[in-house]
Amino acid sequence: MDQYWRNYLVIFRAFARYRSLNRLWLSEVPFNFVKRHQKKGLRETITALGSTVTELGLYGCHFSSYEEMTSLIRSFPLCNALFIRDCVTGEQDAGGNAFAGLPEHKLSIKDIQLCSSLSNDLLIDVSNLIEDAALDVGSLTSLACDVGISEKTRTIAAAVSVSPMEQFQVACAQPGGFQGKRTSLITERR
Amino acid sequence: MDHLSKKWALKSLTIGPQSNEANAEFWEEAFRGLPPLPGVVDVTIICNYPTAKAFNTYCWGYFDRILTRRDLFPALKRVYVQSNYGSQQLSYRRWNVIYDSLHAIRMRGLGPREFLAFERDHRTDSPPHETQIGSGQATNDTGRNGDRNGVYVRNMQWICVGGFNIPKDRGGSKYGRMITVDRVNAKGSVARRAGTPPDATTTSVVVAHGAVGYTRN
Repeated sequence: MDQYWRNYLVIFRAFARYRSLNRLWLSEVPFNFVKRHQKKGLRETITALGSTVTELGLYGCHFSSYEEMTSLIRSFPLCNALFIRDCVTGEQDAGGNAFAGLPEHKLSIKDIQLCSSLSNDLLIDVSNLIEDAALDVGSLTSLACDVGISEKTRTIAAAVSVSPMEQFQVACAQPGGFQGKRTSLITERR
Repeated sequence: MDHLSKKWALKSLTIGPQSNEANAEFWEEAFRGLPPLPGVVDVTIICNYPTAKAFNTYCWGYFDRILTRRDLFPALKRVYVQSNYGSQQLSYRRWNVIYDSLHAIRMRGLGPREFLAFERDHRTDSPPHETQIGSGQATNDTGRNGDRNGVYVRNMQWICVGGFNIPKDRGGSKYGRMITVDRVNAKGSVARRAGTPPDATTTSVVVAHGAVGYTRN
């Protein structure tokens, strides 16, 4: 894992140096395994990337805590599109937050996609994330999320009720989210 | 959901991907109190069945009822249906069942668009099938069966292929090993640029397991 992180940092730095990236998608990056001596370098690199990145995708990334994930998100002041899927957050306390100390910006978000293909336990609640990451959704036009349970649809709609929403995608990929009775509507007209 | 109508200016509504266990009660509860959505022109319904045996029509009747309510969807013009077994298309017979379940939608002339082709060319053994990647809508909506496996990329600038755990709706494929990022040009075709090193013109990057993909202007 140490070698992985050396590679990650080399890659991150290479892109940070050019200051031209605007879309950064991270897949299965184990932030929970960042070594103590690597954290400073990672924070500096993230700060550099933050000056250009406008779209952040976190796919299957592992964080030591939920706070660590929100800290990373808030490190990208220009980010207006946020995609999160199947991210795992641990229970470590704030001391394990690799991004602690970075400026916590208020992001003005236009596009959010939050979903989980694994289980409802890993589903990040949109309404909570908006609050916890202090996202400004006043200009949000597109939202795609997995509601988990049907009642959640209204909670999420309430959380973005101030937004000029143009596109709304509501999904529920997990069987556990369905509370109602099953009804068969098969017809045999043909 | 009374507050939806105050600020929202919805143009498109997508329901799903949803589990095969979705039923009418679930969606009735989710959309209880749904206000009129006067700007919604397109509705997409995505229902995935893990296996052929898991096929059911728990949800279609509800959508058939609600989407044909002119008081709620006065401007609705198109209904898209995406349904499959995992990575496989529905059988002709299953597709027929969905076709029947959406009787009111068809009678109102709303589609589903796939059924237009279905009705034109019902001799085929395969149902029409649409693959949508990213946030874009279909560029080629002629509905011809010959186009059913096309990848539609309108309104999408970038896709990533071969990504680890990059979801398909972001352009990923779980089968690849090396991530590449392709640029989709204005005509919708894909110009692949993989394996070239990043430089000052690099604008997009994906990192996974040390593998990296990027593209340039």
